[in-house]
Amino acid sequence: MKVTFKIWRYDPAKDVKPYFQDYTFDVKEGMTVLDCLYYIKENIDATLAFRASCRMGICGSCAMYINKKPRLACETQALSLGTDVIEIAPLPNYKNIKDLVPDLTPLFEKHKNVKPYIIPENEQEFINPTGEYSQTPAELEEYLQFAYCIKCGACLAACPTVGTTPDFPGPQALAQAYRYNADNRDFGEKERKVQVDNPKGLWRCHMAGACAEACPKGVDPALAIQLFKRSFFFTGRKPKARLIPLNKEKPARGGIKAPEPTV
Amino acid sequence: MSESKLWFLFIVAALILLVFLGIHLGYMHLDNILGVNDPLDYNNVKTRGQDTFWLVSYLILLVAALYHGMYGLRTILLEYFPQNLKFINGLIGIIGFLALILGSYVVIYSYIGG
Repeated sequence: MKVTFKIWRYDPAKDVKPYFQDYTFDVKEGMTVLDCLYYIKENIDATLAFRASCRMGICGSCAMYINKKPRLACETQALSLGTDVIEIAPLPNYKNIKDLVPDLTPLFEKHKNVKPYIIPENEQEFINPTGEYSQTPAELEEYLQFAYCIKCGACLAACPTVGTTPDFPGPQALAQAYRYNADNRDFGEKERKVQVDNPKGLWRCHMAGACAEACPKGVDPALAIQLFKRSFFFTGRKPKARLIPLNKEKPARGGIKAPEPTV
Repeated sequence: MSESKLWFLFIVAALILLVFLGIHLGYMHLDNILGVNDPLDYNNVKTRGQDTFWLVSYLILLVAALYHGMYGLRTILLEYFPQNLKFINGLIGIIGFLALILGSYVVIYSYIGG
């Protein structure tokens, strides 16, 4: 089927403002939008710039605005969009570096600000571990959904609040803050709350829910934000993760061996 | 006051509004069902204004509605002018305070028989 791709072109070195360029070719069944972009780059126009890496919905590099929705190009089947004109632009709410490449620096800065890592109760235990933490499946479930974030930035592109308030941390950072707060190995809840409890922080979310719809991994940042808000007023006691002492005994002779290398 | 506390009060004000606005609307518009004799009649309005229950209800309704509305307005203004936090806080504070004084004056003046 012949499909026309209307692709956003912008080279700050030579263009005054962005414009759309059309590319028309036969798209075969099974081709993703990313495959089509590679086809254009390899066969029609080598100057087209876009970002992609894993081609399997894991790295999040190829998030772009396809037919006016933030999607991963590698996960979007070109023909399943059901249109013979496919419009592709860089993610909105970010500075455009070139063609389809957005500047994701604000995403990572906001992510870093909410301390997206486990803050231990006892720092020494993390430096010189005496054991390993165990979690029950129920404790894992508390945060597992939110741990699937691949930092593609699609949620920030969909968020109307980020559009009007660039300093708003956005759904990605807030969902990650909640992800670590909900983890029972973590003790950094107070530090993260201080980071987001300000006039441009958590409370500016007006529950449009667009982030949840845009997320290609089903993380549902909108839910995380509501749970985060609730945690300010209804703080349930978080069970501490159990520390299981390391077994420092040497393995008995003839015990379990590492598997033999195979040819 | 921290932003979380302001937001919490905004939600509390909404709950108060649900109750007191419900009483107000019920009394005014379900008059036939509740057997109230013409709630908009001048004498009835005057009698209601001089009743302590209605005085307290109207003051609570006034404070809750003003806080809820002003917080909402502040949110909208902050969305349009995110860099003007101090000015917006001041503006909202002054408008809210003036409206509170004016509203309280009307309710209290009616109560003392003005």
